[in-house]
Amino acid sequence: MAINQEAAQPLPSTRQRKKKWMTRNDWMGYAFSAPLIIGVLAFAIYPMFAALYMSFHQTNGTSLTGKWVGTNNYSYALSDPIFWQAIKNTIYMGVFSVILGIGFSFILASLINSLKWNLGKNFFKAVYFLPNVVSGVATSLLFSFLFFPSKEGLINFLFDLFGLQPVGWFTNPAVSRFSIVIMSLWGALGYNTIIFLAGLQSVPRDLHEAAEVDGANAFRRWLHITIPYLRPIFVFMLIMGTIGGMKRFTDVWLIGGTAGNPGGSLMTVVLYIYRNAFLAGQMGLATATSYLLFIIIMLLTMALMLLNRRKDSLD
Amino acid sequence: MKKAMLILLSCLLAITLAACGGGDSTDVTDGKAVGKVSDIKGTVRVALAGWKLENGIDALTGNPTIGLKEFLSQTFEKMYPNIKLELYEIPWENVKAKQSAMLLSKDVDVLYTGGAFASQWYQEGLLRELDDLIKGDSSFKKDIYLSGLFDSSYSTKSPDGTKQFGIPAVLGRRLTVFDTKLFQDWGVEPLTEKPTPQEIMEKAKKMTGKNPKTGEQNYGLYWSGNSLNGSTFVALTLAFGAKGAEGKLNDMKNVKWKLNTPEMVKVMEYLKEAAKLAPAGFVNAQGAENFGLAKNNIAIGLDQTGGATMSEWRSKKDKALLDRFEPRMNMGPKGEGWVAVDPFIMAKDAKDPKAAWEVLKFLSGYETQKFMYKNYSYTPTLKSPDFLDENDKFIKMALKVAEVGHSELMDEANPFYMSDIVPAVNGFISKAASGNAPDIQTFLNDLQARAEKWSASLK
Repeated sequence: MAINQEAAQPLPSTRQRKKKWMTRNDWMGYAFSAPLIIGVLAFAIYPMFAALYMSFHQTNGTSLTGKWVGTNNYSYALSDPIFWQAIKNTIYMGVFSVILGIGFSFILASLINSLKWNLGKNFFKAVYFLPNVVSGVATSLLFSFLFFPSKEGLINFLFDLFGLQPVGWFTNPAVSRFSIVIMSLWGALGYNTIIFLAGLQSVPRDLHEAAEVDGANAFRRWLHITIPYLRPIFVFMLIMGTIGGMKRFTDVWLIGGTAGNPGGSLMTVVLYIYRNAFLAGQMGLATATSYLLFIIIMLLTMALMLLNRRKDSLD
Repeated sequence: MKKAMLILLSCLLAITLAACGGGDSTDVTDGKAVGKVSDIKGTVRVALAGWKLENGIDALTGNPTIGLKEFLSQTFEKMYPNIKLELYEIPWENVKAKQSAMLLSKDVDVLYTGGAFASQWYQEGLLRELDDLIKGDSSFKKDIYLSGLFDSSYSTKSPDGTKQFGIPAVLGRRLTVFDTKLFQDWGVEPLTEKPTPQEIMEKAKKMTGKNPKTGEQNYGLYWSGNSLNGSTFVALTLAFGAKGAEGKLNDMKNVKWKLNTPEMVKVMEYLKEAAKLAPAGFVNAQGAENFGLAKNNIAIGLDQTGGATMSEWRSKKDKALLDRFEPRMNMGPKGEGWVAVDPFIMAKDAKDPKAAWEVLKFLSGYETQKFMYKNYSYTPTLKSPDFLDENDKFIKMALKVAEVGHSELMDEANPFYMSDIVPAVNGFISKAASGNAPDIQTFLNDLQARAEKWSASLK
């Protein structure tokens, strides 16, 4: 009988449900998450809008307001040959760092994953991850001595043993960008390898077993099962690598100084922004360039996301 | 077994405590009694770029050093017992951004910083002028400072030269230093007291190649090819009379740029020629690691400090290196070069200006400069620093260079100079070093056009 009475009662209206939804507990929930929301608003959202506002002004950064200059800062940067040189250098170093970084770390992860001995797996994981905990400053210093342009440098010393001429790793504009790529490979290899290892361990064993029954050898299984299965991870690595590559600053600044020496070959977009913001005191121009960089990164990321839209047969 | 472990651990603990305890030689007053000077009250927040606050060890000499906190506890805190100090140690790396943030958020009262940053902050209205505080304090003697640094440096004076915003605390050393041994090996006459760029080039050319006595590769010349402030370029502009720009630092939009003049062409031609005489790494500030030491292979170093030689002297008390490396004046007509001055400055919105002034005055004064020289070899900005090591010929020469120093628009206080001219010149040098120097007149015309466009963008 009681059941029937309850069933006879009308359902609460949407408005009533909304009222119920904002209970005291809900308010408590919002109160607890408020510090995070306020933090995001204050330290992420506000600076983004403030920078956008600043990019239309001529200001040294001491205040948001300055002389309104419209899109002058944007046109100044876009007509500046140094900006375009910086874009070119950044993309060159970014593309090679990402492609080689992903390629090497995936091969390395596959090799480590194929080890039967767990202790060996952990050993190699630790060894390859170690450079990742070294700061960019220390890495740059280390490589500036490894890549010393004469026989006093370790690499050129080894070259000399084989009768090869010393290479101006960081002094010859023709090779300096690639030297930076090698240096960043060393630093990022461990992190990328760990991510790929996690992905490799998630590939279902039964797929491999089925292919094995069909007569596929280890290489074909790796090529046709493992690699397609890890496509989301590849895309993730590509996107993160591209974003990181476009924001390159510390290493090129420490090695090439504000000129991006040698010959401006290590001049990157963020170094260009730094020069304008903190050396020239032109925060308006610097923020405008930051937004140009933001647009470039966004377009690249969107292009990479589009690449991943194809429905994978393994999904 | 347990007993053995206990004994071992006790020994380790005793050794550690003994090592951490240090000696009792931390007296910074030379035995003099320090008494109360004033009852003035207040809290002063001080941000110090690169200063060491805690006691430690000098990484180069291994000698113990006394931290600023210890020094202040024995001196300032006894003199001004009611002033509470809050000290912040700021690393030099990216210091401008960090100290700018402190100034903007009004979290600091007194700062020690780079001269160029101070000048820019002053122009941005972030600093307090000190003229009223100086005028109202009879105990402050400005005559103790080198007048060129106190009265006419962009690091301490307003661009029009009428207002004082900083007190010079530390002087940068930029000397021409040469290796007498290499000069002897090559049979070249030592540098004269004020060597001109031409004399330096002529002698450096003679000493580039295989050393006739040792057979080692020698380099005639060295300077930092990616210097942040382009100090060698500044010295050359002074030597060749290339002004680079005419106008006022606080009116950059109306500055008349003179970057493609015949004098500037001479400067660039000199750099192009000099780039052939330096070790390859100089474009990235490498290659002079042994300059000032026994294994040196560079004959002449431009804009050097003599720091490595003095560190060796302080740690080993061996005069061989001190006798081998000789300082000379810089390349300007009077022996001048670019003179870096790091000042103490006060934030515009200092909470308690009177207390902050006492702190600023003390930290830039004689006692602190003496303490910083003895512990960290900081170069004083005083006319008569009677505390210098009598063997420190490098600092004595640096003071002579500072005496004839003057600020021009080719200076790190000039934002376009820092953001564009220095990087462009450094880029030119690196291309010249690899044998691909661009056409000088075209390069300078481009730089001139860029400078004019930059000034126009400020209008």
